[in-house]
Amino acid sequence: MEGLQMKFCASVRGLNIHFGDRTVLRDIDADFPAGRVTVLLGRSGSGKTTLLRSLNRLNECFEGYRGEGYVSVRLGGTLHPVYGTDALSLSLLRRSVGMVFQTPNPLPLSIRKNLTMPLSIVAGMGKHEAETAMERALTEVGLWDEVRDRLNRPALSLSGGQQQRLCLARALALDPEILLLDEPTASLDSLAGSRIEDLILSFRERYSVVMVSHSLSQARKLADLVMVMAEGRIDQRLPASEIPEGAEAECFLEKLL
Amino acid sequence: MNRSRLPDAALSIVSRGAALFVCTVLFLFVGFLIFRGLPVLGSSLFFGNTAALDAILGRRPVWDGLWPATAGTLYLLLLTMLFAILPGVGGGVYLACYANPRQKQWLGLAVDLLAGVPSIVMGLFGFVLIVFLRRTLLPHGTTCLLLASFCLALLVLPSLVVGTKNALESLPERLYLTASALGFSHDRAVFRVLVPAAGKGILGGIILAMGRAAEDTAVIMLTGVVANAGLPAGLTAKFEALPFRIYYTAAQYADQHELATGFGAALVLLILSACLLFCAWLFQRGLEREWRGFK
Repeated sequence: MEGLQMKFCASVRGLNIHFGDRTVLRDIDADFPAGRVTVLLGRSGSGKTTLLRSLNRLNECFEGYRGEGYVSVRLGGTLHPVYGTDALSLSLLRRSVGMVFQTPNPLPLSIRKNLTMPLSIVAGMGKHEAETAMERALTEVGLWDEVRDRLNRPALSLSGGQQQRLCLARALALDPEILLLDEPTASLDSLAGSRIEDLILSFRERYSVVMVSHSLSQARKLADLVMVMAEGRIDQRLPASEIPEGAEAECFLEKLL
Repeated sequence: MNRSRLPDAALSIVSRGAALFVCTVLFLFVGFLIFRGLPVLGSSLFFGNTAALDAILGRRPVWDGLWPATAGTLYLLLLTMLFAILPGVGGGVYLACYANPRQKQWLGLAVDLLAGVPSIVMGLFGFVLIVFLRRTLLPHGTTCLLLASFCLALLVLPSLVVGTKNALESLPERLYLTASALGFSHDRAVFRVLVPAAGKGILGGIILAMGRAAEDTAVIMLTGVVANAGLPAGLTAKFEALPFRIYYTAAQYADQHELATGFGAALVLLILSACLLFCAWLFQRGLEREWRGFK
């Protein structure tokens, strides 16, 4: 844990977030270690997803959003404020802080265009460059061999697990430094979920990952650091090694939440 | 049957019956038009005694055929859509994706009021407008194709605005969220993702608007249509149109042949509208395939 506290990919200070009259996050202070996997655990409604979305300003897409506090992300080795007058441009922030949602959400386009359209529109890549980045990203998530012969088919014709890997590839193609994963295995079967987990483990050296999960065993498998949230606050921070296995895990979870 | 399920079963039967009723009415209506109009459909219905090529190229006038009215309707519809599509679709996009709740309320009210204006009032507006222009900027101005299509565009604008707005608002919220999370700016998310994704619904609005413009007689009667003008000589000229021809024939036909010509005109109007809608559908499908990248 000592090493983790030294360098962080994102930092949050005094963060309060409200939607209309409802306060979702209360006075959050947190540092997310760089090059590691941080898992946010907690009951539904505890504010995990809102905290995740505060790192790429996605909360602003929802009606009634109000926020106070300071959030910064480390990109290219430098800390940049996420909010305020000297903040990063929204487009650059969201490209560099990639996100994968709970339910696979491919755009209603072909497999190819799901990757190349954001690359050409957001990253300004030419056709050839975008095709190269697409192949690299699809290879990285182990999908290239499965889809190389049907790149012009609808992305929605893929299985749920393949769609989620496609979404992961789409985020990776934009060359992010931080990955936000909002329960990326929640809507998948155990085999497809396990494949995503293996990918996350393989990413830990290259990307800083902040992830929301409901599963203690998943947190133990993937996390370097676990943050337990309740009622909009971070209640505990603990290394994954402190999470027990087997029958004890259930009691531990009950106690935590 | 369980008594609690009885109302649901009844509603199901009513909805099936309603669908059957709509199909039957459509079948009877189109069937009747084909039955009465098809026998007279031919070269002489369009061109009378004039050679078809001469008539189409405008080398000789057509005195006794539908060709000038068909061409006039086609020009009228194309000009109307040219005037209406940009403000109509643009207004719908603004209402769905840019307006704040207060603006939505006021603009929505304005669109509803415009939708409620009877077409004869819109025609009167066009007439008053040209009278005003004659007294101020255009002393030689008169009712014409341009004025009629402008007034028709105003008439069909609400269908386009509402159709576009509804099509955009019925898209799943996660589409915008996905584009935003990928780094699309609001404008790019709207115009590169949401508007193309809503293409079919927007086309629905365009089809409604074209249908309304194709059938309307009240507006054009006060803004430039005449019974005999030949092919439109220009944007500022009088013109003939099929709906007016049908209306005129229905009111003043002298014999059975003239009445049959009226049914022929109605069938031609139906076919013309169907052809334009088919072209619009083909165009939208082409755009959608290009956007989705399916091959």
